[in-house]
Amino acid sequence: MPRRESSSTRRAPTLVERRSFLRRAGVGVAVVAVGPVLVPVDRFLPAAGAQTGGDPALAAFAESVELVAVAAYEAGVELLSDDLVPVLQTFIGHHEEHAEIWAEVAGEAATGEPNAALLVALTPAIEAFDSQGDVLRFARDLENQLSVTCGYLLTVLQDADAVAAVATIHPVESSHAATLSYELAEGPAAWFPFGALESADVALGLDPAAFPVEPS
Amino acid sequence: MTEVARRDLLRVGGLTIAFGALVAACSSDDDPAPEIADDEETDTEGPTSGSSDLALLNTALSLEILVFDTYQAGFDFALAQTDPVLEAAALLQQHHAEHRATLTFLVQAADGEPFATANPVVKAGLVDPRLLAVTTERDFVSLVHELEQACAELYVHVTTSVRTPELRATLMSIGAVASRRATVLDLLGDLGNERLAVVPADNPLPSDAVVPD
Repeated sequence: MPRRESSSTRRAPTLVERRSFLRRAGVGVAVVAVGPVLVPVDRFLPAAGAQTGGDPALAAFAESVELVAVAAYEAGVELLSDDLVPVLQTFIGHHEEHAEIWAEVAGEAATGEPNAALLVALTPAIEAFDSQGDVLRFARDLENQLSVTCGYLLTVLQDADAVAAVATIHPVESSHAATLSYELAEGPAAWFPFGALESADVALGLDPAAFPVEPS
Repeated sequence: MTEVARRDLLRVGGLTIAFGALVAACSSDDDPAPEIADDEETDTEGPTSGSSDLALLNTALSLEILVFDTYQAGFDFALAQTDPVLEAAALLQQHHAEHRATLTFLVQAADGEPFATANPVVKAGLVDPRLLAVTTERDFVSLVHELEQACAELYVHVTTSVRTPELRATLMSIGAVASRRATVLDLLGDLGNERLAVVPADNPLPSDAVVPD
């Protein structure tokens, strides 16, 4: 059964520590308040198709959003109970591997950096982490958006290596989301937020046009 | 459920239990998950192993039917017993009904004849022997977990093999949900399977489980 949020005495990060999140993540831009939870990207910008640049640019985008997950989870992991820390650390490792896979596909377009625009959009939620539940809900939502984003990328990527990358990564993002939902003690309906077929609607995911990659 | 009753079930299925068809798959629960992948290289430029898009779609269809039937056996013979597992299994079985409809549509759209039969090779080599060996609910959860994981891996394999982006996206929309199902079954059964960063693109089924054109 799901592991309930413990009342452990694990120390929560101070506000000052949390405010240093963007600096630690390597983003030196002003914080934009977008609300405490993830929202569809069409709340920020009109939905758009793939940015120009073809598969390398899309792969660089995918690399950059994987690195956002790494940065966000590293900011939240200290709020988790001992039994859930290894789960999130495993997910961090997965996203690091995914970023490496995407970087290989992206070639010279890879930046090795988290997506600055997405990180800015998510920073208020990350800085508001105050409990294990906050972190798990955030991660669940981000994993669901990553899964949808993979579905979207499958509709636009052309190169065989890029298709193979996204096909092998996509189910892992979905698996992460289901795990987090389970650990939140949500029921079967929440394990499958899109029903029997995963969504590929980029409006529910992370749109490359809304969160463009800045050349390194 | 008695062993005799379960053997009767398998006879009703019309298949002879063929131990050894999937040697690794017939190992005990204490052994690692069965590795039944072939060793053919994945070529993402086109269909692998000489299999056509249609053959791969029909193989997926046959696996969906088999998994649906396996959940049904779990209900019919009280292999699923507790409320959490019963509730989850009912939803998961419904998914397979929806996937069957989707795949049937895709096969027909490709001017093919849907292979509306539970995959006979996987049934005989893995499912039937394992159903006979189920003694606890956890055994049953472990079996359907393996099937769901095989589904997820098959969809990754097929997605890297078919030719059109639309078909790839549709197939992975099914495969990603299969991965969710495998995950929740692993958690429900406290199975403790290792979490991998990527799902292999190899065909998880023996080559003779691919439905011919």
